[in-house]
Amino acid sequence: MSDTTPITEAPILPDNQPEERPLFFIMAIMSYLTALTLLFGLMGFRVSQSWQQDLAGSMTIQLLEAADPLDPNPGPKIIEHIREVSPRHKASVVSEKDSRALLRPWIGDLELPGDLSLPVLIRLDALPQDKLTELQSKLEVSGFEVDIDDHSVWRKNIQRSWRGVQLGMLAIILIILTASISISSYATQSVLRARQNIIDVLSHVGAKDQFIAKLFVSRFGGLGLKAACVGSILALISVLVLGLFIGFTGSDLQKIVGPKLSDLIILGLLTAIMGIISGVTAGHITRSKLRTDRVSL
Amino acid sequence: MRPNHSPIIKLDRVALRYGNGPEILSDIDMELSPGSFSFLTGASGAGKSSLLKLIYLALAPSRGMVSLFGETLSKLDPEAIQLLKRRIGVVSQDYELIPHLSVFDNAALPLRATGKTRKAYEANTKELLDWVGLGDKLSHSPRTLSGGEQQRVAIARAVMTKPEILIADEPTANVDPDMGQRLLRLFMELNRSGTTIFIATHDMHLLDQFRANRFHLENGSLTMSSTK
Ligand SMILES: Nc1ncnc2c1ncn2[C@@H]1O[C@H](COP(=O)(O)OP(=O)(O)O)[C@@H](O)[C@H]1O
Ligand SMILES: [Mg+2]
Repeated sequence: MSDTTPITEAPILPDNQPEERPLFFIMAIMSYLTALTLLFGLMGFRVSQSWQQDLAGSMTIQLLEAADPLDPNPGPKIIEHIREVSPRHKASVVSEKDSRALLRPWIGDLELPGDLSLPVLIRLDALPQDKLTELQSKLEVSGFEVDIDDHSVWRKNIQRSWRGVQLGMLAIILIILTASISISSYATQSVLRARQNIIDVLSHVGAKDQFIAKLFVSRFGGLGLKAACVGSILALISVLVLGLFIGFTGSDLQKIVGPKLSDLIILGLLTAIMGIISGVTAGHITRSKLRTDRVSL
Repeated sequence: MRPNHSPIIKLDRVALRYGNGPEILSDIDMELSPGSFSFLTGASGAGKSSLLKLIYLALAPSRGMVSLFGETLSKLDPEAIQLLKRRIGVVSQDYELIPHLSVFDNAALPLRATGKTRKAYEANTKELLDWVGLGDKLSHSPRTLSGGEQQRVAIARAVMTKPEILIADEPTANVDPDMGQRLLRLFMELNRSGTTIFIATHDMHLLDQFRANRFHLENGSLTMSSTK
């Protein structure tokens, strides 16, 4: 008379227990928030990067006073002068719509009055210093008063505000990670209470603290990892869906800033960190509980 | 037989109280030699279970000293204590089985907890569970077992590691006389291979069958009654 059911070794800690669910959800939410912050951060980084590159490779000429004040369209004349200095040089008059867009970083999203006349701006590829001097004298001779901007001030400004944003995001991520540590330690404690009988039996049969702690480390590490995967994937989906909604998907901008393969690696890293946080916290809490519960002999 | 020199279990003026309650045990002196077989008797509430818990390291004495294998427990670190526990098999009154684990997994737990792989313990565990009459219930949950069956799982778990000391708290309380006999034969076999056995019991039938030391607890004091 023998039990013929094949014997499979069940995990010592029971699977899928209700006490573990809150930890899963909260870790998933924490990972979601961290992943979103990271994804937006990475996209912001690329925006500022490409913007700075654009600015460094180009200059803007702002017309302060035209040679002929009655000329409604003095832009092309200036471009002619540029071509005299450097034939086939890339240069164009900035349209009014783009001028307004350029002003936005400085004055915010306010609607500008439609009749506000904007200065004539000419965007050109950066000129070497000698050609620049030549152009300046040519324009002066022709009676144009201009301000030539090599964008260094802008670049500094962009850099500075980007650094501020970076710090802000770093702070958010740190806060979320710290919160994750305290949440997993709280959750571990409540699960440990629910598993008291198992811990007692294990200790009773001579299991070392390390063995018992390892059970909880792998359980909670795995749980944190799974939750972080879910959170990261949801964050990625959110960014893609958001891109669809705001018409970003398929645009040129997306090619520059949209989610990249390297983002996935960083998200993978984040997922691993969340798993490590839950695992290490669980190990720490379990060991300290075993120490306090011990009958001192 | 050579006389045994140092005792494997030694209680030196041990007293125990729970919280601020009265002393359940006072000034207990006791020595068990390696390889001995002893019974502990006493009325219900006399403190038998408490005395056993002091020996299997589930309780610390309020006063006095407990030594096992020649080592004074109060001087050992937690790691060493856990290693000592591995040398002691315990059948307690509340069987402390893990409900979500099968009969097989419960019995094999001490081996698993010391890092053994299933391959290494599967055959032994099956054989032992067969011996205690649970060969047909290996994959059952303890929840579906009767009290007596659960007790037998706990016994299998306790003897699984061939411990140097076996402590059993009324191991035959819930089984029929036939199974009681069988279990005793298991303990005797273990004893023959060198295990020191200490069993608390009410079972007069059991007591009368074996040559064994007898300790009796009454009013907090321990007396060694007789060797039949
Ligand atoms: N955990 C405990 N807390 C307080 N009192 C206890 C505890 N365990 C046992 N006792 C008391 O200690 C006395 C001895 O109990 P026990 O050792 O279980 O005796 P026995 O096993 O001989 O029946 C009893 O009066 C019991 O009420
Ligand atoms: Mg008792």
